[in-house]
This record gives sequence, C-alpha cells and structure tokens, in this order.
Amino acid sequence: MLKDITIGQYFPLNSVIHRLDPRVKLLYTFVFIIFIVVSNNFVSLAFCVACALAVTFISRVPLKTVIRGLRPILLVIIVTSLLQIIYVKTGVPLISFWKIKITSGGILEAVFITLRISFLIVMSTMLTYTTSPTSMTNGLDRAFSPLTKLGIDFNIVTMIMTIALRFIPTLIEEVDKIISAQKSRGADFESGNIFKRAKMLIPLFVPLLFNSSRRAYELAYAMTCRCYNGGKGKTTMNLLKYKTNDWIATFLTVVFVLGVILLNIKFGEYNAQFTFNAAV
Amino acid sequence: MADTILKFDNVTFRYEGDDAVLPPAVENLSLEIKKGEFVAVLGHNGSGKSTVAKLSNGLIVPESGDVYVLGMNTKNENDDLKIKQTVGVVFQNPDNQIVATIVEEDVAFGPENLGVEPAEIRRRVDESLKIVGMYKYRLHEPHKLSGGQKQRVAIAGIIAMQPQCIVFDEPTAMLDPEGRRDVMNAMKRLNRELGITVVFITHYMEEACEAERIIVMDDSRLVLDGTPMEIFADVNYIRSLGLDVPQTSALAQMLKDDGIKITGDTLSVDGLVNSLAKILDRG
Amino acid sequence: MSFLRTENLSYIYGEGTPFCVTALNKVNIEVEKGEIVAVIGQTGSGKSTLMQQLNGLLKPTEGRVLLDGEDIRSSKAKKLETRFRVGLCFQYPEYQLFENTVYDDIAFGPKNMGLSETEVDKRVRDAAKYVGIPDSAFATHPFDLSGGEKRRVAIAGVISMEPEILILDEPTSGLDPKGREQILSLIKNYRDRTGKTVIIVSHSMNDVAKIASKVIVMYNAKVLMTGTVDEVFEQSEKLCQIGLSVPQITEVFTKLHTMGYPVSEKVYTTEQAYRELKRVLGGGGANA
Repeated sequence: MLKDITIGQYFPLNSVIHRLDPRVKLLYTFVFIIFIVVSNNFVSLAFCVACALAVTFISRVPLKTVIRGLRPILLVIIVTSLLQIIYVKTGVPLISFWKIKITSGGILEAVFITLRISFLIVMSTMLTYTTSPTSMTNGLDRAFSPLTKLGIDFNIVTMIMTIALRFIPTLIEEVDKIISAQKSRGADFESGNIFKRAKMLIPLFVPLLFNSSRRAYELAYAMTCRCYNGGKGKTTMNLLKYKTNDWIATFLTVVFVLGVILLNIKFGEYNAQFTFNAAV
Repeated sequence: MADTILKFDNVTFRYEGDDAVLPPAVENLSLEIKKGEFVAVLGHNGSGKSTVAKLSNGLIVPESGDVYVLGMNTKNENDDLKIKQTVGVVFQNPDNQIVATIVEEDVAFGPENLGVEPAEIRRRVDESLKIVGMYKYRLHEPHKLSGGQKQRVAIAGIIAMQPQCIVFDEPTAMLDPEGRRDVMNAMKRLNRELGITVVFITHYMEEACEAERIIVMDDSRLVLDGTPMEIFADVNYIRSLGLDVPQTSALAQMLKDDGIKITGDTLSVDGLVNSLAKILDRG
Repeated sequence: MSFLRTENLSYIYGEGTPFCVTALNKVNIEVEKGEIVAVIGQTGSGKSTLMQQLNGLLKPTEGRVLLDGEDIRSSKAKKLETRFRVGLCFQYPEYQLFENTVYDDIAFGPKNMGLSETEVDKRVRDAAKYVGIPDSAFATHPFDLSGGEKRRVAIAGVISMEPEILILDEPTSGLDPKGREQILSLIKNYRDRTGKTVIIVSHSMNDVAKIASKVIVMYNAKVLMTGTVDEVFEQSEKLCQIGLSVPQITEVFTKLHTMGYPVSEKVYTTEQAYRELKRVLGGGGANA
C-alpha cells in the first residue's frame, strides 16, 4: 500500500553504525564531506574511499543498495568526467582525433573527480540509510540546541519536521482515497490535455486542503491539551548519551582528519605526469 | 466542595460566525463532576456536548459564567498549565492527536512539555502504555496501527501527564466494534484502577449505559441528569430528543404500554432476561 | 446467472514488496438484482477492498468480477462503463465534496458521464429528492452543511449517476442515532422505489438487521458465511469469535431459549421481540 513507502531512505538494520548517536553520524559525515574535497592526491583520496567503504561494510547495508543511491547523480558524474577528459591537457597524449586530444592527465583527473563525487554521495546516503528520520530529527535538535542560547529557536524547526514526518503517510493515504472516490464518480485523472488534467486537480486538492486544515485545527487543540508551549522548558525522554562506541567513532573521525592532512602533506598535490609514469 | 473536580457555573458559550451571530453552543449550563466519577454525556450531534469538552480545560473559555477545575477558574491564564495537566482531553479522530513518529515518543510528548525528568518520563510512558494495552507496540509507527490502537495511544499520551480527570470527546465514534470495546475497557480500567475521573461524551447508548451517571444534553442545554436506569425509564422522552434507547429498554417500554407488568432491571441483558423470565413463568 | 458475481477473486496489496498483504483470498460472492446485501466483517477483513474490486477501481491479482455475465475489465470502455453502472460511495464520503455548491457537487458524476444539461438537471433533482435535500439548499456551499447533510449530499452524488448497483461503504459511521436512522431509511426507500440493487458495508449489526435481505460475512480476506439475516445471526457464537456482535435483543432471546423458555432465538429487532413475546404469552395470558 502507498502508506508503506519509507520516507527518506532509511534502511532498517541493527548494526553498530545504526546504533551510533545521530550526532556522531552527523559529525563524521560532515567532516568526511569536507575532507574528501580537501584531499589533493590519489593516496589521500584512496584513504577516504577506504574509510567510506569500511563504514558501508560495518553498516551491513548491501553494496548494491549503496550503488543504486548513485543513480540520480550519474549524469553529473559523466558530464564532469567528460569535461576533464576534454580540457585537461597535462600528461602523455594518448589519442587525438578531430579537435580533441585525450591525455593521460585528463583521464586521471576524470577518475579522481568521479571517485570524489561518488564517495561524497555514498557517505551522505549512508547517513540516511543508517539513521531513522526520528533519530535524525532528534540528533539535529540536540546538535543545534546551543543555538537556543543565541535566541535562535531550533525547537520549532524540529517540531515541524516531526509533524511533517508523522503526517506524510496519513496524507498520502488520503490522496489515494480521494482519487479513488472521484474516479468512482467518473473523474478521469489519466487522460486529456494539460488543461483538462490541471482542471482535474480541483476535485483532488480542494478536499485535501479542506481536510488538512481541519486536521491542523484538531492537532493544535490536542497539542495544547498536552501542554505544548513552543518547547520552553522541554525535557526529552530519550536522552542522547554518548556511549563507548560513540567516543570510539569520534576518535576515529579525528584520526581520519589527521590522516588526510598527513597524506596531503606527504604526497603533495598530485602531478598527473608523475603519477602516470609511476603507474606505468 | 472539596471533592468536586470540575464545576460549570451557569456557562454560556457561542462560536464566532463569519458575520451573523450564532446561537449559543452551550447555554446556562451548571454542572458538577465529583472526583472518581464515571459520567457519560449524551446528546445528538450539535447538542453542545463537544463544546463541553473544550470548555472543561480552558481550550475555550465561557462567554458568561465560569468553569472551575479544582477551584481554578479556566479564565485565569496563570493556572493554564496546571489546569491542562489536571484535566486531559481525548478527541474523536485518533489520527489528529498523535504528534510523533514512534508510539512511545508520542506518549512522552506531554511529560516532556511539562519538563519532567527523563527517567520519570520513561517510567510514566511504560506504565501508561501498559494500562491501555499498547506496551508491545511502543516502538511501532502510529500510522500503521488500527483506529482503536491509535486511540489507545492517544489515551496513554494523556495518562502520562498524570491528570486527575480525562474528558473523552466521542472517542469511539470513528472506530469499529473491536476498537470501541478496547477503548471502553481502557477507560473503565483507568477509572477503576487509577481512580481517574472520566467524563465520556458519546451518542452510543450501549456505551453510555456503562457509566454510573448520565447527563443528557439537548439544544445547548442540560435536560437530564441521573443514573442509566433513571434516564432510560422514560423511553419516549429520550426518543423525542433524537437519541436511541437500548433495545432492552425499548422492549420493556412496549410491554408496559401494553399493560404488561415488568419489574426489576430492564436495562442490562441479564436483567431483562430475568424480568422476562418472571413474566413468562407467570404466563 | 447472478447479476453480479466474483470468481475466485484474489487481491494482494503491494505484491512483490516486503509489505505485501493478501486482502482478498479466492472470494466468490453472488448478488441478485434488487437485493439489499450487507457485507460485514472487522476492519482489515477485506470488505472495503472487495467493494473497490466490484466497480473496477482495483485490478484483481487473480480471478474476475462478472457484471451481467461479462468481465468488467474485458476492455477499457467496459471498465469506464462499470464505474457508472456500479456506483461506489466511500466511507466518510463528505470528505470528498469539492464543488462550490451542493448542486454542482451532485452534478459532478452525471457531467462526467457526458449527459445533456437537461438530463443532468433531472438527475440532480431526483437524487436530491431521494436523500431529502430540498431544492432550496442547492446554492449552499457544501462545507456550510451539518455533518449528516454533507453525508447525504455525498450519497446523492453517487445516486445521481443512476447506477444499477449502489455500494455504500459504512454509510452510517460517525453519525448520531438520528443521522443513522435517516441514512438507513433513505437507502431502503431508494431500493423500494427504484428496485435497484444495494450493497452496504457495515459493522453495525443493528443496521444490518433492519434493512438487509442477504448477509455476507468476511473474515481474514475470505467469505466466512453467506445467507439470510436469520441464517447468519443464528451463528452468534461464531460471529462473536471474529469480533462481531449480534444485537442486544438477540442475546436476550438466545439466553431465554437456552433457559428452556419456548421463545424463538431468531429475534433481531425490538418489534420482532415484542411480537414473539405476544405470541408466546398468547391472548391475555400476561394480564392474568
């Protein structure tokens, strides 16, 4: 049924990664994204890739699922790679035809970029694969709670996120029902030109909007009855507490940062000529 | 009086219309609910009974007259939180009262807003879910539960605030027979075991008969107040208010109209069986 | 040959996903012209899914639905035609009202059928009459009506298509006794005056006892029992086991019967109960 679709891309498993504090996951994902961009040679990049693969492996999310997550950005990867191949002229010329000259430098640059973008995406999707929307909201709420002291009310934002997550399945179900009901009265949602189709949205959206505003009123009453006052003085039942694993993950994140920095310094900005010769 | 938890003193309330002045939804209503009572409020749609629910904890305040919760006037905004914590309200549509994406987190919502300590919230959430029989669903997503289950989660969410009184605004109207039975049982349990005062608004006769006291509303006013036996003694009057009567009472009335003497309890199934048995023995 | 019947009808929601649910499992039902059939069962027993199969909204996973001996999904034209021949009114239909006036909302179905303006007008007026909505309410915004009135306008929106079979999914749910009574009597009236077939999904045994001529009990995606009201309510124990209940008065008479009193168990309404008592007590016996 429609209501069974999963929101986001959470992949429910019970791995060490899944059990980590959402704040740690937010932290290392953020750090990884920065440092895969910072890494400037193949050794550093290989180190990043290895770390990302390790996380994927430990999370037990099937590699196939992770790779499928790359599909939406496939076009971006192809286009950037082609641009690198065409415009980078360093290294040994390999093929040359018409006005295009392909060099070893161009190919290596393309590989480098492809890896960088792919694994940046892999790590971001790993965050959503291993963190439930609720846990994510909770993590964001806690991570940004210091902002409250600066007068920025993040509580409202997380409340909105929670209510959205809560009501998306309900609304999907409702849309489904309204469509069926109007179809039973002969409404045709599938054929006709664009104007006719746009017109068919009225029997769908008018009831949906009306019902949603009714829901909103009732929800507001229900929340008031449960003493909601904008999150002032609010406590949390499921306190996020750093456990041993969370400290280990934080420590490993620091190791990762130092690793990338050291490898960047040791091997320096990669030289296409050099790397190619070394490879040969 | 010390044992009064909820008091309506000559309350009148009207909703705001777009331009026209609407007739009052509740008019000159005076009513007292005592601690520990199980009271049903009966009335057809539009009789004003749902307005009573919203008035009872200050969601709306009277146009004239006063509502007191443990002596606190609902018009006094300083007592607002205390009042809402004392009198909880459960509404008709379970879908529209659940705020969180996980059952136990929803139940925790009230105590969290009240700033209760985390360990204490945990204890209350577990206890509340056990009372309504939803403990094993604590990690489920609400939208995958049945109507009756969702309604019980909503009830647990109120119980977790440890109120002294809960007003149920037609909590069974949207449920199937099984869901209705489960919700009824949950209400009875928290009245009996936790001593929570229950005000139960409904238009199902069979359900109202399970209360100790029934208040009947018609046309924005209170028209009857008594035990189920007293209320259903006058079958014709109840019918004239657009309400149903239990089949048992209706049959007893038909026999009475026919000049057949019928004595004893004519409301419950077993009571009527005994009363009819007596007549059949005589016959 | 029955007017409407299903042949080994099965339906699985979300087939091939980890969430798949069997909603219908080899269901065979038969409905004759002019009957009022009640379909009862708990939430999740498959009764609502069955209704959406009967007007072709859902595609069977297996089996087929035959209307007048023809498969309703044999062609695209047939499929559309079935929507109009088998009118389905969903549960809480008032939440699907959308037009600016009561008149326009009732006219939505007939307009989609491509009828002439005069024919649409005639049908709207007829349908409104059946549900007791006066002409004076035609210009009203549907959202300004009371709950019971909205429900009746929504039902008129299906009746106005003049379907040969009218299906109503839980038409009385959420209404107060007066509203329930109105809906039930309008359904009965409609049937008596048009002679058309009505299928009503319900979990109120009192409602069923009042109007149905045939009862189909669904349980766990299957048909558990089919028969007259008598035949089905006789098995009160079985009904209780699957979470349904028989009318209160039936319980009273079953108990009296078991206690050895010469009363029939087949009593479902107070009128029947009264007549039965009078029969047993005989003329004047009670006053003695």
